[in-house]
Amino acid sequence: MSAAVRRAGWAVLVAVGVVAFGLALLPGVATLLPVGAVVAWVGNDYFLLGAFGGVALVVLSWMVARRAAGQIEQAAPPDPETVPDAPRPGEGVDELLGRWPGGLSDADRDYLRERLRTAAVYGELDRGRSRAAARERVDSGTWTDDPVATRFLAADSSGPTVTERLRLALRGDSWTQHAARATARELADGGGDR
Amino acid sequence: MTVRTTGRWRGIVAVALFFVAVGVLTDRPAALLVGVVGAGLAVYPRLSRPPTVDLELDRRLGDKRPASGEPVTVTTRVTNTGDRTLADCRVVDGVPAMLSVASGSPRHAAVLGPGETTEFSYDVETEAGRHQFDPATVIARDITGAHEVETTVAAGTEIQCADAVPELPVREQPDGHAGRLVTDDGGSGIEFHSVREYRPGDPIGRIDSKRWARTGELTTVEFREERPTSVLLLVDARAPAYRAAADGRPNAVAHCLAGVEQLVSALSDTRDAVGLAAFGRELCFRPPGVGTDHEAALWQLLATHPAFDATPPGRVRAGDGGWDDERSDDLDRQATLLRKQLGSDTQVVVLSPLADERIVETVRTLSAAGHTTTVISPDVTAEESLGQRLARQERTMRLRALRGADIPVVDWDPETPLGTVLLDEGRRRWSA
Amino acid sequence: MSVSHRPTPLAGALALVLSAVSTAILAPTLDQRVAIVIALIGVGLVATGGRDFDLPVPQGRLWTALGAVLVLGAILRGETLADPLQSIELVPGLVGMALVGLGVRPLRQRFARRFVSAGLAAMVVGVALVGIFEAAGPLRLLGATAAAIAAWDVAEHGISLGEQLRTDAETRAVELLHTGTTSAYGAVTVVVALVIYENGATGLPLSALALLLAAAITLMALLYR
Repeated sequence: MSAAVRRAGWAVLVAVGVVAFGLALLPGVATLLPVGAVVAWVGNDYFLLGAFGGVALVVLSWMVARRAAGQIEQAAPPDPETVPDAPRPGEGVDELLGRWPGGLSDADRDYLRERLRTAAVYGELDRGRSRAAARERVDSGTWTDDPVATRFLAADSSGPTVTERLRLALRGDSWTQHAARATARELADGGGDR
Repeated sequence: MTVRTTGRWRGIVAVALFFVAVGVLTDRPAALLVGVVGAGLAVYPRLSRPPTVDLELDRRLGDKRPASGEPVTVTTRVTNTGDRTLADCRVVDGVPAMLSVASGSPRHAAVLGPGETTEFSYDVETEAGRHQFDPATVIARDITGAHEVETTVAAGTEIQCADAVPELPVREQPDGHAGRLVTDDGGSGIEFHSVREYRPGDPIGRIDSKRWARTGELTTVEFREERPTSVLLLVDARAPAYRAAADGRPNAVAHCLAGVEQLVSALSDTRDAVGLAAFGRELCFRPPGVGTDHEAALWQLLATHPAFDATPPGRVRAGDGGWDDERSDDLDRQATLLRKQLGSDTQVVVLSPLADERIVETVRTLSAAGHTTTVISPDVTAEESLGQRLARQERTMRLRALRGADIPVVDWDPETPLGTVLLDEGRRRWSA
Repeated sequence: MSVSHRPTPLAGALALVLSAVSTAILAPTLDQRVAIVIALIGVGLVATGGRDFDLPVPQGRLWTALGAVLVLGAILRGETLADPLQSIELVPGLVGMALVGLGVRPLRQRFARRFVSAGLAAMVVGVALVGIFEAAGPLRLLGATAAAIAAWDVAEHGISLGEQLRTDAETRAVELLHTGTTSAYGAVTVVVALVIYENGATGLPLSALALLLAAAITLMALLYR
């Protein structure tokens, strides 16, 4: 039912109701209705009125249910008092390292590894090595003393052993997060092989 | 402008129905009568219509050009220019995005008769730069609260908080020409450089008369050679650049915008041609030029172009851990477009927090293409967690890499004004 | 300063006063009125808990606990009154006041409106019970209902002002005007109802009454927005 039809129907019903209301108040008109027959059928004039009461209760409960389920619609103005927040630098890494281990997808792992690799290569470049030498040192793992960090970024890494994985899993950690954390620590401390 | 029915009176008629039922079922006519009151109050919201909103807004600032760090008092006055009373007029003022409220409240409610004005004040903290007020949000309700009109009223107020940038030391170009940079050989020009012995043939106007009056020596004043250059100010306003050091602090792009405004002011006072560009939501590019029209166009861009927005874009967490859903070809596309339109002798000053690798590559490409490039980088890194320390280390390494490629980088702590930082740099690096 | 989106204090206070007035209209004896005043003070203490005010209003857990004790004490007193009719007049109204107070505090921001609506329901039930058991005259019932609905309206107004403007904004004029207008309109409906009553609304024949009821129920159902 379209809105216009619904509104027209509503207006018609209101008109009918108002007219009926008015007719009821006019003396003598209402007696034309076959109320006596209905009262005889129902048994008691109280039951007749009681029926109206019952209908009123039903409509009432429908209204209460609808109101309880509905929402007030009002404007939500902006929040001008504070500066809109921006993320911290490095928040992405923090979030990935802190996530529940099962929640890391392959793309997340690749992202971490790539980012740390780039940082490690930059670190090597910083120490004066050429690009090729820097990449080679990171691939071969000679850029740092830390064995975990080495394995994480090395090109031919075979990954962790099963026992290592189990040990980490018992601690509620994943290999990627553990190794990434170690690597990040190495890098952040300006570390690596001097 | 949005007009709503709030629906707050919904269901009050249930009270009337309840009394009708009670009155009928328990045979109490007095209870039935109470239904009339319920019905009357249920009809109440239908008796009024949504208000018509005709308002004017006016703001007064305690100090239009405050010193950085001092709070400014803003007094906002709202006037009802319509001819009907607004029984429930709620105003939320549009404090600029990068300023926070220090005391008072930018929100207010009032009853406004026709022609009446209401006024409220609050204090804002200042940050360096030029800040535009946003339009104020107005929510007007009728007396019953059943209808609500939401709209905005604008007033175009601006707070400017700048520290003087006395001089931008522009870099010496490979061919020896420079903007306002001192060349080592003094020649003809504008500024005092040194004094040498008078040689016959020197222009009379250049004789140092004071020294002759004092000592009887004839000497000639030499001036620095100055030639105007064209400078392009390039802001990195991409999603990865929106990083802040802490909650409630402006983000790096806001700092860069404040810096770029100071640079535009400073450069407009000279004969250099200034241009403006930005990578970000959209590419912005205005080639360098001179003159008041051009300057006005630059300020217009800074005020209205979508790339120069200090508000961070909505944070989107891409499901694959790739932060800041920025498509990798956006920057490439914008950078290529920029390079195509850039004149070959334009110097480029890049303002970027160096928050990721791509901007570093882009800067190196620009420099390699023959443009003299300088980078000014605000430092918004922190040391509180492992990720933040890593980010700080990454940024330091990027700085060093750029410097290693002969691109000077100004490492700027945003707590100190840009002018001071550049003066120190100029003194250190480029003083003759 | 902890500024929040809680209901504005003036509207909350006015709503509580209106609900006390509604209960007082139903409960005329001194004993009951004393209980109402005590309950009002108690609910006031509970409602101001947890907020910062410029005025020297008692805050803190201890005062909130004291307020709760006062309210519960008043309700208990109401239950143990000698005349059970007096209890019926008093207790639902006090419960309604307490619920409105919890909605205005609010106990839970999400449920603020629901608490206030529940308070209205309690007060309405109280009026109905008085109407049934006492066969009371219309003026008391009409006045109490109008005051109860006005209390609900003012409380919801305060809730919406708090949500949109927060409690540190200047909103007094709007709240006062809204309260005054709703109360005045309620008074007008009471007068209209009394006029209808005076003009022999009780002497209707059955058929007229039936038609009237049918029309009235239909119109009221249509009035739901």
